[in-house]
Amino acid sequence: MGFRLKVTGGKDVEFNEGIITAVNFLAETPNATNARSTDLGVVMKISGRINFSLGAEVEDSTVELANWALMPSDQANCYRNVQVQVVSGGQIVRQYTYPNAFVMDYMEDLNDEEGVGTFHLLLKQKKDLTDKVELKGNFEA
Amino acid sequence: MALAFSTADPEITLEEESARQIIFKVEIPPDSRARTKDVGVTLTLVGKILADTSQAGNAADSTAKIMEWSVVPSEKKEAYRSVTVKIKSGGIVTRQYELPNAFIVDYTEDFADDSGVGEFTLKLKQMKNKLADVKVTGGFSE
Repeated sequence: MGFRLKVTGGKDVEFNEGIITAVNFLAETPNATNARSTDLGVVMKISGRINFSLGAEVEDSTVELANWALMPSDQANCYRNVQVQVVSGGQIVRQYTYPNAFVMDYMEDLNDEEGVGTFHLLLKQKKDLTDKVELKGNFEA
Repeated sequence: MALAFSTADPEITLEEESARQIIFKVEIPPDSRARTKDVGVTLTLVGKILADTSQAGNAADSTAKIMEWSVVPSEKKEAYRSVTVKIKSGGIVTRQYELPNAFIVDYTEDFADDSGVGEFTLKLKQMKNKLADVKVTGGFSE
């Protein structure tokens, strides 16, 4: 199973298979509710490797993820369009599109044992635009 | 991969053998409905506390200076320092984090009789009103 990520709306970031190691989709409402709540949030957690391109034959665009995470809220491109595809056996098993995603949490972890780093990105669709999220599945790649 | 940590004014340069792990984190409150102004940038450094066995009395690393920094009171100017962390890999700087107004949130040292060297954990945060000055770059030669 492979993952593809495309972020547009600032400096474009595109990851193919080989970078992302895990994707987590979460639709959440408050836990202490008596009925279905309107307070619906759509969250996505993406984990991957920081591969450090050495000869610069491929640009290491994880730096752009860090810069996006640092972007102040008064700038337009702190909201970006994010598309994640889960690909397996020639099929797009899932395609998540968040047109107005912002960064909730971003973490880079680097140590002297692994050789490459890891990153964890937690995104949320702007809550008043939750219905703009596009969720698709099971179509041909 | 090698990790180099340094601060300016007063200067601390941590030897590459000492630094073990770097965690860079940007976070906003998890219940936010949209992107907020309340952004926190933290940098956590984990490393070894080494001793120089060849020359008794000589410090093998500068972790003692970090320890001194951790008790500097907030009214002093030295509580805030400019921190640079460089990650070097294959001859180039693959990541460079710059926090020009960093202060210590937490500092711990851990020693045990089975590990030979001690371990420290340093948690730094950029002063919140100076977030725009944080820089993350990478992919250039030294």
